[in-house]
Amino acid sequence: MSQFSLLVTYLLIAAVTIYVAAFVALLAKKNTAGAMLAFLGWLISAGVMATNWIACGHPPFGSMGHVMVVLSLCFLPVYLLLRGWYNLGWLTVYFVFASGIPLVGSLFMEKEVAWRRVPALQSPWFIPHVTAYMLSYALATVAFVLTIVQLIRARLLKQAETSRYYSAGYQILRLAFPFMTFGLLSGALWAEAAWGVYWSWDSKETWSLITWTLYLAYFHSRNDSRLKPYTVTIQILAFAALITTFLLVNLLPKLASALHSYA
Amino acid sequence: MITGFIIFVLLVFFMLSGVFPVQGGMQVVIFHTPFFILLMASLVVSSLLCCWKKRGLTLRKIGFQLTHLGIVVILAGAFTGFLTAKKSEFALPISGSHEIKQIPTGDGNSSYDLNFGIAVTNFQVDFYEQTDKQSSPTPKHFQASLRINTANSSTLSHELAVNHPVEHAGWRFYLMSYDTESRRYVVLSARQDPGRNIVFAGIAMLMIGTTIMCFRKNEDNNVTV
Repeated sequence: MSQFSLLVTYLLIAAVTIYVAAFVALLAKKNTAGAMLAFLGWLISAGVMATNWIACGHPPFGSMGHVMVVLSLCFLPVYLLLRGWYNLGWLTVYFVFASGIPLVGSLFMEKEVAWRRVPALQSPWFIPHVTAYMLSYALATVAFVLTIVQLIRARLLKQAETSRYYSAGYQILRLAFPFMTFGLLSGALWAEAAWGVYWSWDSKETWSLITWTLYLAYFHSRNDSRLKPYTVTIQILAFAALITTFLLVNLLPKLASALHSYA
Repeated sequence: MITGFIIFVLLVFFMLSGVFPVQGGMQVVIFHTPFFILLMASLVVSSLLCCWKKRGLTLRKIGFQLTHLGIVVILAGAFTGFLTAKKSEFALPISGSHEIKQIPTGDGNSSYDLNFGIAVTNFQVDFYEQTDKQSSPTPKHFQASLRINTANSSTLSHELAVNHPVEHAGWRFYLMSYDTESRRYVVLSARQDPGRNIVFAGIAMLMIGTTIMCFRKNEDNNVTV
């Protein structure tokens, strides 16, 4: 077992280093080299996921260290999709940045390679529920980074033309929201099959609904002239709620959720 | 739009007050108070008004209608369940001769008549291989047979496992846990919820509606309601 953990640790360090190199290369406008490095980083992360999978014998979605790797892997496919659909190819550097962060998180988490899938997690909903949430979190992270970049450029650097960040963030969140909705509601359907109640106001459930409601408020505020000035604030609050849902509920024992104790 | 927005903000504040734990998990009681139900009712009214203002069944409007009506349908189903659902959790000995026709109510003070008898037989449990000696073994899978003696005295037998509930005559039975010490009983949860299918229909509407609304290209960004 321990050689698996060791392998995972080395691979994670390698992947993070390569992502940092890709990030630097992209900032230095070495686009081809940056893209190659980012792809290499992605392949190594895929190796981490494969190692986790072999070590535990199930899809490695159940512990926080595993899920972080899956989250990181979601960024590249999502980026390719956005580049094809919305002409958002200029976002490479943000996606590389966002891909590296969860891997750093995974590096510092307990590498429970011997994780066991308890009966409640043995359900056809397991993979779609987690995948949909990871895709939506990946997208929401990129949208958040874009909003921060826009704020820095507009407020601190006093640049005039920052609207492309605003509209790119919106396009990305529009793609994220159906996945988030599916994740939330499939969770309810799954809970009904496993525990007999589709909603029980468990703290992870409530935080996920807070996150969803805030993104809903973001979409509504965009279409109303009186609310439009608050759109950015709401998006930042929504992302804070997302981080709470994803991480803090599990990491802070005070907020601990009885039902979602695995991830 | 502004009304809907105020409702969202209130809802978020409400949930924030319901998410921080107090002694004995009592924080969730807040979601059963008349004020919360009133908030949900105003969400229903405002969603319906939005749908009325945007009425018409062009393809452009279908996603909009499905999402807003989906919320209404989910809340209607949840309210139906809130008023009429019966829920019970109880331990049942693993024995073919121990058949019960009544199960305790949620508060344990009274009981529900089932109209049919249930008994649990053939309990099985598999464990993961143990890696260290101290910890207790992790169950990999456990299941039992739920025998049902129906009202017209025929006998049915169903596999009952976690994530695989059994449905009979409007009641759904869930295998929750088992006696880890001596494996003499299992813990079952039973629920009869007339709102369940309504909620599920609303969930389907909301999933489909959100997908249509968000994946449609070249959306007119300045739609106001």
